[in-house]
Amino acid sequence: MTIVQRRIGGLFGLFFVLLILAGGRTLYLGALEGGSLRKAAATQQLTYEAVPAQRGTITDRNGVDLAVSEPAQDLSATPYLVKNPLQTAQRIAPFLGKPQDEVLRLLSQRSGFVYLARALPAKQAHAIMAMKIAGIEGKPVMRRVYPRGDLAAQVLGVVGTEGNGLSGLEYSRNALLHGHAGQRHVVSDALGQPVSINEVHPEEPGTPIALTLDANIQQRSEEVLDAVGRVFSPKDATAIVMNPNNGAILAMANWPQVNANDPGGSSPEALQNRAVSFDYEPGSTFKAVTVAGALQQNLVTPASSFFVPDKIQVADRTIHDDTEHGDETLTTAQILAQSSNVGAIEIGAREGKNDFSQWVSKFGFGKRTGVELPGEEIGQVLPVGKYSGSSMGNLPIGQGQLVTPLQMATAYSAIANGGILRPPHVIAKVGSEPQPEPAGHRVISSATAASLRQMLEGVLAPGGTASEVSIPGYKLAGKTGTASKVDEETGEYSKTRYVASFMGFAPAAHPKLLAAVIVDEPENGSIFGGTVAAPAFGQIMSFALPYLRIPPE
Amino acid sequence: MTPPAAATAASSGAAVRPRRAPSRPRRLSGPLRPATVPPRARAATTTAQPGLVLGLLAALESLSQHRLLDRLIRGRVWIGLVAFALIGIVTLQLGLLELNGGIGRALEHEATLQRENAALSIENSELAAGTRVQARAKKLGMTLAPVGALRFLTAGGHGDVAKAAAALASSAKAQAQAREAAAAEAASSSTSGEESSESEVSGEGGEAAGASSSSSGEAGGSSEASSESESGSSTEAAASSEAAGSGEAEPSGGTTAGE
Repeated sequence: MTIVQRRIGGLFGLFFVLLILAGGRTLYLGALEGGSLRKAAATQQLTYEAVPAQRGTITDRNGVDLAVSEPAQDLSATPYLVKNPLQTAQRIAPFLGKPQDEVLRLLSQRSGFVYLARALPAKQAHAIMAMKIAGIEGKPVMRRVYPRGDLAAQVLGVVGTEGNGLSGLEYSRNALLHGHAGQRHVVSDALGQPVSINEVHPEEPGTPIALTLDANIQQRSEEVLDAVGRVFSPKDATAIVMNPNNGAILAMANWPQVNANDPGGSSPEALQNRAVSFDYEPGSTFKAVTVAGALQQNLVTPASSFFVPDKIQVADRTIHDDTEHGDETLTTAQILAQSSNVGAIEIGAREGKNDFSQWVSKFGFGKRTGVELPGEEIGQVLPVGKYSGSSMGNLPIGQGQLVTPLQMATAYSAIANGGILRPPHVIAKVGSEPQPEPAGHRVISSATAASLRQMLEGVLAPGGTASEVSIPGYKLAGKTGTASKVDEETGEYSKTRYVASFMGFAPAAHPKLLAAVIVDEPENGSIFGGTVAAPAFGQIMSFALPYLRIPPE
Repeated sequence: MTPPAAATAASSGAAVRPRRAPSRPRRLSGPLRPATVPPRARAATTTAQPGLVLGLLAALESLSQHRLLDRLIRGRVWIGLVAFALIGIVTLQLGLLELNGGIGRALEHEATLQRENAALSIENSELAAGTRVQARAKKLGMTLAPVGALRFLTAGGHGDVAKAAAALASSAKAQAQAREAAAAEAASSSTSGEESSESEVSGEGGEAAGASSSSSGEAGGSSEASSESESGSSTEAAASSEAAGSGEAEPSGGTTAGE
């Protein structure tokens, strides 16, 4: 055997031994240590990242963003992995916007997991993550932001920490707005750089929604209600502005206001949208419904005369007019203009309880209006079978039944638009698809509606209950309401607690805009619809009419 | 060289063998008979499998010893081929890594853009707030027109359209003239500016701006127009008077602004 052959043999032997060693090592790593190594690799190199879906934007009718989603992170800590909690707390507290001692308390917990911040804006979260502190992790989420803060907060609603709507449109249209989170499979190298990214399933962003609300009219309405709140210190107040011809709601304001970005800072009652959830006795504003029925049945005309004493006895009840007066003769128009209780009861008596009950139902009371907002009450309407002997003494004047502000506004819209009751709506577009306007149905003839509108002009004319309200150039029509609230302790009508309201529209002959203002328990001297709610109506309309370029007649 | 025909015939004749009868009779048409395999044939089928494998191995062996393959392996082309394949694989892997890194960066960029977009949307909505616009307008000296002061015009057929078109044309003409005048004034002031001091130039520019806005006679945004004229840039002032001129303010506003 030559030396070359020996060397080749030696090399072969060496490689063979190396091969055996490598094989043995492979067997050891693959079979004996395989399970634990696979786990380690999976945690260090393979990750499934959740890709949060962007929640659909909510805009007003002009495309102004009212609710927007922005990327954020849920920051959490594994306290036992944080080596120096004090130093860490000092470093991250400013970015978390929390006091150091609070952060330190979180980091010092004997727990394997603690949230440091939920939905922290991405900028701050990135600053913290860039510190690369062991034991602190971030999970991408979306954060709901309401750029206008308290604008239409009760209509828009709020979103919870898990990204689901909890109230308002955020709740009722959650399925549309929410979208679906995606998932990515990421393989990273030893330095943490991704070497392979596979989309397991893509995220689906939520559908944007455009509302019929107008941010400027909404803002003006809220400002006016805020002023009412400051002057009269009511329990709460609400205002609705709508287009009576198609049922589009242009503003739906509530007082007290709520900052949608900090709903926790307000009481749960303040978060309610009282325009749809407040059940109240409408009082004199309901007289328009009583008169509408009688007019439509030709039981009265605007000029029909009624003998109107100061008080009237119905069964066991005696009902007075608001101001003391002697016996007088009033026309139907005057009864409305002066808001005579006795006169309205007499008109109701001409109708009879069966027909009156039907008119109440025809105008949509006792059922939901169909608006897309959640939490809508249906009110409380007495079935004709349960009428007592005195029912026709209080129902025609708006007592003894409960309605919502939106039901009242919808009923007045029917009077304003020529007799068609249209379901109100607040959503104009879903995605890029315009929503069809809900079809209405006729409840009174256009002639009856026109007569009624003309009579309601008298309310704002000299001698009417809202004669102090006027807008230069425009003819207004409407009806005041001052309803006593039932004292829950005594079961009687309170003499200190009232609901002041006003329903009106303009221009009176061919209305294009309607506003309703309801103030619950006004104080500080005035309690009347004509002095509390009607001026607010005037202020809202004096902004909205020229803003919408509605010319006077 | 082609052999002669006879020789060919003789050699082919020598190769022909006498025909023999077939060992098995030819198959005749008729009904199928049950197959009967003789014991020897059955033994042959059981031993056929190793034979096939051996045949395959033999074929492979002959392929490995094929001259062409031998030439290819021993040749230098093979080295080139292997080197090309190895470099290709490495390049492919590197490209894939780079691509994944790029996807990672693109995703980060997407997130950043998404964040910026949301921030801009929020800012846009905040800036468009009525209260803010109103406050800014108030600072600029603007007030909301009283409701009673607003007038609405009703279009009344073809005559009004023609009037409106004529008004637009005359307005555009007046604005163009004002622009030209302002430009000429600015040119002359810059020429004179070469001879005089800088402060004089700016003063003349301001005058020019005032003249231009009063000549247009429609400047409504008095504070804007005056602030522009204060800046001393006559061109800017002319532009601002143009912008204001598109409004519906009183002609006197322009004069005030100019002054």
